[in-house]
Amino acid sequence: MTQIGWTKESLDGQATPRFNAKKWERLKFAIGGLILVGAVVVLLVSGTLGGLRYFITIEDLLSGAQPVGQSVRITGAVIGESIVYDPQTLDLSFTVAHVPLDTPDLAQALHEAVLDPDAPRLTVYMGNQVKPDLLRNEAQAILTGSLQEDGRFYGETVLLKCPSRFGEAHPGEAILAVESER
Amino acid sequence: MLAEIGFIATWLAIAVALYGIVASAIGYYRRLPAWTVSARNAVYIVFGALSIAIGALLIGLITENYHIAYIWTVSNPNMPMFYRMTALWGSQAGSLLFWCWLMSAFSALSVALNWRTNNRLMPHVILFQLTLTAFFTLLLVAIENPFARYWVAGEEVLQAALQPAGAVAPAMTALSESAKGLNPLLRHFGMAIHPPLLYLGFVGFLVPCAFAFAALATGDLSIQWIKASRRWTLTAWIFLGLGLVLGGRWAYDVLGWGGYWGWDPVENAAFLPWLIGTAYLHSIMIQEKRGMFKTWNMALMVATFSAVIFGTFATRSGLVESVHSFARSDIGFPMFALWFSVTLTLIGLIIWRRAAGGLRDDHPMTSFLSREGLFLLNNFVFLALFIAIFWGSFGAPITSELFFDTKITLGAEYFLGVTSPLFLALFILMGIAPLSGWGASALRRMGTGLLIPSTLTLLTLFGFILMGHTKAPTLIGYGLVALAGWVAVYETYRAVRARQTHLKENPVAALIALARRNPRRYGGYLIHVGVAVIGIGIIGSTAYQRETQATLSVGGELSLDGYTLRYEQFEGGQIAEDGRIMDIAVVGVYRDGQHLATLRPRRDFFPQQQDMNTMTIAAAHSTLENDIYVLLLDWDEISQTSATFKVYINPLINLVWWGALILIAGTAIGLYPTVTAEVVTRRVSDVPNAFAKGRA
Repeated sequence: MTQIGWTKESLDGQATPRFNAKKWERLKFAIGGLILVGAVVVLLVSGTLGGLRYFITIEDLLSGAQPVGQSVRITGAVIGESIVYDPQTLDLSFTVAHVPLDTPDLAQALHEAVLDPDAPRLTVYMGNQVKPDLLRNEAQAILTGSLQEDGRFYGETVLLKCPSRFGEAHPGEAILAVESER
Repeated sequence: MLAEIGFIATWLAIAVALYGIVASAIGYYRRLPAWTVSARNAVYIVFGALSIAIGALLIGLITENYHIAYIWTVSNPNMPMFYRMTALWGSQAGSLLFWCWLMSAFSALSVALNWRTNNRLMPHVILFQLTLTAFFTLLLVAIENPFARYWVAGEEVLQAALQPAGAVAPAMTALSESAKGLNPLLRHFGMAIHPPLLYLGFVGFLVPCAFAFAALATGDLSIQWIKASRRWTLTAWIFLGLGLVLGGRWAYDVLGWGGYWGWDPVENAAFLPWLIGTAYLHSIMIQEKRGMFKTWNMALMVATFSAVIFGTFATRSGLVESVHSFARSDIGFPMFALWFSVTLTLIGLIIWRRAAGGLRDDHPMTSFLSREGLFLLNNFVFLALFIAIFWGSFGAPITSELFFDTKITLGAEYFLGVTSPLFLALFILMGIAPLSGWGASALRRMGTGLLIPSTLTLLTLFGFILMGHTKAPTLIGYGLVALAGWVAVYETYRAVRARQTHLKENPVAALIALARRNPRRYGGYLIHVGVAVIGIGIIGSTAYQRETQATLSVGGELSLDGYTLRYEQFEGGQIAEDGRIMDIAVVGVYRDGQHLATLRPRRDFFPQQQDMNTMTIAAAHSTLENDIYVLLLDWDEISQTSATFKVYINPLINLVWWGALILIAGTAIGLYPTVTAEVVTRRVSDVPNAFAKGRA
């Protein structure tokens, strides 16, 4: 359905008050809209600045890419034998080895990082932390927290993925192992 | 044989879908109805072929056909039948096949139900649905083939659908002995039904988006595409909502951190289409009533479906680091290309139709406080939430990497800080919008309508204060959420009272009659109540969670918030049906000396799993007031006389799950067909005849 609109002109060519009212209505919505958009932008910018964390490698962190004490997010390969957990105090510490942020075969990268004695390593400490079931050798740990003066990384949160989550890169080994036993 | 059947059926589905795309285009543009009929039949055949394919994989899982690589990866002989069946969607390839099958099922059902009533839109609906189905199915067979088998060639194990030259199939015994089994984290009832519900929600949005595409392509921009797709949208919306809630329940039960929502990118990716879909469901009411927001509604539908594809891409490509994401896969680039091209095409069509005047509104906006004004504000807040969550989950990390050569992430504090005021704004709008009128502001009416709900809200707040919930910010939150709920309850009550007064109906009959006459309004009110209940649960469980931990000897006790937990005994080495070994602590829960429950937190060990072989299973005593959530952290392996526990008290958490049930009930009412004026007239006119028959 077509809507037909018209504007009544006065004799001297000025728009009538009705036209002005419409214009004012539009202006009102535009101002209201701008205020709302502005408020959301302020909310987003302040939230971003307050919650921003750099996601860096262990190598970068240890080379001073971010100042000591600044909250960052890091990723590393868990070295299983370094895990120390006291269930009575919920103190958890472990060592993570450097892995690149982007790698085509993460399972392989984790495996190599754990075996490489020259890979940069970082001791992580977490207080009041229930030991996650996935915390094991060669798991990928994604940690938020900060590096402190004592050289330890004080973790606030930890996200873990065990190697099996990166796809079944070498399933054949298991099958061949059983076959060769026969 | 099963692998071959599934493989051939999948290729057949692709071939027929491609044919259907061509046939539907010829049918429409050459005005040859026989071709459109043929395209419709292609939709049914695609559904049939994919049903055979998924049936083959399911039978393979049930009959333990470990030659199929997917089955070897996600199941093993020790798994119970239930989990063997749910392993169908336990990993990338199977879940992608399930996704394709659902797409074909939704397509077939929507075509069958709309063939007569919306025949003009059908060719393009079919074209859109088959294009998407063909794309995903092609992706399935080309990159993530669930029917690939293991073959041994010398010292190498290969994965291929067809037997490579010189390769032989490995012995079934070798396969069954080495089969990995489903990830223990996924062996939970919530996880068994959470993915299908999410997929039903995601895929369900294919239908309304296909109708939107058909409307744009044909130029039939009347209200018809919305009417035809409203129920599909609502169905997809509730499935997605339930999927999200069940995902939260799974996290709460399985991940053992006492929470249910971690602002993880994959959780957020599923939440985004739900948010924008909710905005759409509100906004289309304005187009139906006032002929406004036509472009906006199109844009919202496109944004919803675009968010669905983006979320799928983000989850399945391994783009984001998340406990929920699949392994990194090659399907990332093709899916990104699909998302980009579908979104761009639909936006292009909207711009074209708008420029041609087809999406011009019938009425201008008159007041911010009119119902349409408040709905626009509601849409604005939903959009702001969408942008905030998208920015935090994907926008900021991707932008920083692309333009600043650095990676940044935004943590939970960003999401809590930015979304809390926006959610509260939504609850304010939920409270006042139902009291507004169409076309003009009705401040006086709003004021009167708020009087009783405000009084009830104050009483509710008093109840919370008595419970010890006295933090000022949470009381503001409780107040706004409760007000939104009470307005919905009171508006329903007023309508019931009116029927009681004028028609002398009893309250139940009046309520049923109201729901039948206007299911959308009263279903919507019930949905508002459900959302308010969920909101109260979220505020209570987030702000007033208590926790402690202690090492107890058998007979030892710990106290928290008026509850006493006594470590009764240890039951080590219990073997479950699926082969897991369970170490269980038996814990009694007491309040004021009265025994409330016996809990059995435990640690499960999966001997066959190589990587992820232990799982901490929490135990909880649930009431409407709170959950007492207990984790077994450690125990004395030798004497078994002492154990360490972590205990959480999560106030009001069960309102989150109960609110979801109310949400389902409200949606079910909203889906109920409206009793139209014509039907009512016919029924009323039948009454004298019935009397006449009776007299005769």
